[in-house]
Formats: sequence, C-alpha cells, structure tokens
Amino acid sequence: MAEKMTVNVTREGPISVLEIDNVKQRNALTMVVKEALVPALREAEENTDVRCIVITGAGGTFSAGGDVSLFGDMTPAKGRQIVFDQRKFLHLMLRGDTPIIAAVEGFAYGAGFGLAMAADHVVSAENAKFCAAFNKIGLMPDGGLLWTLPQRIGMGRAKDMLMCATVIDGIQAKSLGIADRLAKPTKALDVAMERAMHFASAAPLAVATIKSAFARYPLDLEAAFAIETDAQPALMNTQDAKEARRAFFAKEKPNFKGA
Amino acid sequence: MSNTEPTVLRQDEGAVTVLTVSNPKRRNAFSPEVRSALVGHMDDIATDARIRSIVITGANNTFSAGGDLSTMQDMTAFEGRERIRAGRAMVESLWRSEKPIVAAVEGFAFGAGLSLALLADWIVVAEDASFCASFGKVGLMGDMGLFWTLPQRVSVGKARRILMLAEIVSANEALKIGLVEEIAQKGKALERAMLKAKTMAEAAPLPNRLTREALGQFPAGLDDMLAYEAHGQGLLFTSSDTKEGLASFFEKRPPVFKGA
Repeated sequence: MAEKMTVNVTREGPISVLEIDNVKQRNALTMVVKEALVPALREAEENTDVRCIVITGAGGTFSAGGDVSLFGDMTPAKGRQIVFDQRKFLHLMLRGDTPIIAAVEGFAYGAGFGLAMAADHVVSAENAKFCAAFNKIGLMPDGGLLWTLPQRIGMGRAKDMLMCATVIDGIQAKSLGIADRLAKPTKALDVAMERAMHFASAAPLAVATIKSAFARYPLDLEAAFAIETDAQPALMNTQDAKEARRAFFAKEKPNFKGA
Repeated sequence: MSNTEPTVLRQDEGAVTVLTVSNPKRRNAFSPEVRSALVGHMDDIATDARIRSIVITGANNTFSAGGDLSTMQDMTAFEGRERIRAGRAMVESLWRSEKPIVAAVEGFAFGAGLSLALLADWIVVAEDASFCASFGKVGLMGDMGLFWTLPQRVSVGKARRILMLAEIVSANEALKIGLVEEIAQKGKALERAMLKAKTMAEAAPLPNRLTREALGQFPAGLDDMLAYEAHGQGLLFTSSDTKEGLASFFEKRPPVFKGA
C-alpha cells in the first residue's frame, strides 16, 4: 500500500483541526498534501459553525517544507507555477474570515515555516525548530515569508533568518515574536486547542473584519480610517453587538452567533 | 594624503570586504569626502565578483558621530539641499547593494551615523556603545533614510521616542528593542561582524540577492510579495547553485555556492 499522504480533518466543537499527515517525509508539503490542504481549509472556512482552525502535523513534527524530490528536474515556468499555486492555501489562510492557529512540534522548515507564519497565532513546543532553510539549496524564501516574517519580527531579524537560514528554537521563537505561546514538548496541540477556544468565543464578524484589515497590509492612515469608517457601523448593528451590550449590562458572558 | 584626512578605507579578507569610515579629527563624521569615498567603494564592490559580503565600521573605536557640524555653519538652503542629495546617493548605494552588509559599531553611532548603521542587514554593537538620533539637538530632523529604516526595525512608538526625544539608546536596550541584532564585548564588534559576514558570504548569493531586493521594496502588499517569490523561485530552481544545494543535501555535505 502506498504511504499515507493527506490532511486529516477532525472537529472538536467549534474547532476544526487540520493535521498534515505525510510522516515518511516529515510532513513535506508535496503536491498531494497541498491539494488536500486547500479543500480542507476551504471547507472549514465556509462552515460557519467552525470558529477557529488549528493546523498541526502528524508524528510529532509540523512540516519539513517543500518536496525536495520535485526540485531536481525543473524549468523556470514549472518552478514558478509550483510556487504561484501556493497562494491557493496562503490566500485562504491570510484572507479568510476564520482565525487560524499553528501548533508546532518538531520542525517548521522552509515552506512549513511559511505555513506556520501564515497563521494568526502560533503555539510552539519549547524544543520545536524554525528555519527558512531555502538558501541552503540555493533558493529564496517562499510560502509568503517575505510578507509575513518582517511583520512579526522586524526587518533586521527577518533578514537574518531569511539570508543566513538561522535555526531558531521554540524559546527563542517566543522571544522574537515568531511564536505567541510556548508549550512543553509534545503539548503544542493541547495548548493550541485551549487557545482555539478563546478565539472561537470571540465575535466572529469582528474577528473576520480584523483579519481582512490585516490582510491588506501595509495600510496607510487613510486606508485604515476608511476600513474602520466603513466596517464599524455595520458591526454596531449586528445581533452579536446587541448580544454583547446585553451581556455587558447583565454581567454575563456573551454568546456570539456570527450574525 | 596624510592619514588624518577624512576618507573610507577598504580592505578585503577573502570574500568579505571591510569599509572603515575614517575621519579622526571629527569622530568619523560624514564629510563630503567620506560620502563620496563610500559611494566609490560601493560602486567598485558591486562589480567585484570575488566579494560576497560587506562590513562597515569606524576607525579609532567609534562608529560615526554623524554629519559634520563644522561644515554646516554658513550653509544656504540650496547648499543644504545638495548635501542631502549627496547623502541620498550614499543611502542608495548601500540600500540597493546586492551584497549583504554587516555594521560593526563601537563607541558612538549618532545622527547620520545611526542612519548608516541601520542600512546594514545585521548590526553588531559593542556592549558599551550607544546610539542617538541627535539631529534635534542642532535643530534638524532625522535624515539618510532614518524615517524609513528605523520603523522597520523597531516599533513605531520606539521610533517616535528615538527620533523626537533624541534619547540615547544603550547597546542592551538596542538589542532588546530590535534596533541591533547582536552584542559583542568591548573592542570585539568587528571580530563578531567578520564572523557574520563570512556566514553571509558562504550562503547562496543569488537567493539572497533576490531576498534583499524584495525586502528593499517594503512596505509591500501580499500579492506583490507572492508574485515576487514565484518569479524569483522559478529562476532559482534552474540555477547551478540549486543543483549543488540539492546534491549536497542528499550527499549530506556542506554546499559550495558559486553565484550561478
């Protein structure tokens, strides 16, 4: 039987967990894996009962990156297409409405690092390792890292990681801003699920608006004003905003419906 | 020319070249001679295939005290404008460089000296060195790209404090806020910078050239960067360095990159 190479989808209440499962290649993002990831993300994104998506990797590692076996026999057009097609999952992640958490154990290398950085929130095991390993094989960063990484850690440190392929462990990742929460080894998914419940209980339309605004970075002041001027009046009139006002005065926890 | 004249010295060590700002009478202030010498070296380095990375430092244990105040005394508005335009040529020669730059900072990096350091990709600073955007103290605003480079490295709040209050930033504070990347013992900034520059020189040059160019376009939108990575990667996939990188990966040995 062929080796398993897929993305496993499970639901836990309002949380959809996507597990990259290509253990033999340390969850490398092969064409097959990417083709499974796109519909898994789209279905979670389109299901309004899903309030948070957690992305993780099977077998104790996140993802070792691209499929190196593809890189040997390449033309510029073929190579461009492979990288270009990654926007199918990057757009779903960065321009979607649903918050996404990456739960990282083991390696998040190359395009796997890009995948983690495209998440809204990153939970890392203390002993996980992050590396933009691309230039070790003569390549430049992809997976959106040119856009996502400087936003998270500033230009100086982003250049170091991208140009020197510096390896960062979980603890360093937390202090740099690559990871938002630390977990003990093997506990990244547990911590991510706890964090996911927080994201899932937030008002979904407000969260979607915030994600949409950040997806348009860089914003100048006028553009930021325009977004808030247009979006805030709509949010003020949602059932969720009414529910929040009711709950505030009743000193209760609001129950948001995304309406 | 005596060795007290303002200039920039160049010395090569393998694939790394070291540029030393030297203006001993004025703590390595940027006189017109220093500016044009730096641009001249950067032009030479751009076409020198042996050189893969650049270190910028200052002579006599200090980086640079910034603009040369003694030459600002009786300046007309248009002379001032010419001066800023000349500064711009220097900024562009560094920012548009296709070779990575490491700054080694001892002593002071004040005013335009701070601006110069921030044009580097990696900044090593001696533990007792300090930074200051001292422009306001002589009635001026930040220049040499500082409004663009500083907020890319530190938060906008920190940038406002540094630019508007001319606060002196210690080496430790600089590391903490992301203004610099590494701290060295006093007197060892250049040594540490050489190590980093050597690492950068051994890295594959073509991807780093494209990475540096892409990041040099900031701020940029998501689709601009996704298009850039697709075009760039498509070309790089077919480079001989990628073949060498893949071979070394499978043979479990360090790669030797040729920049081709």
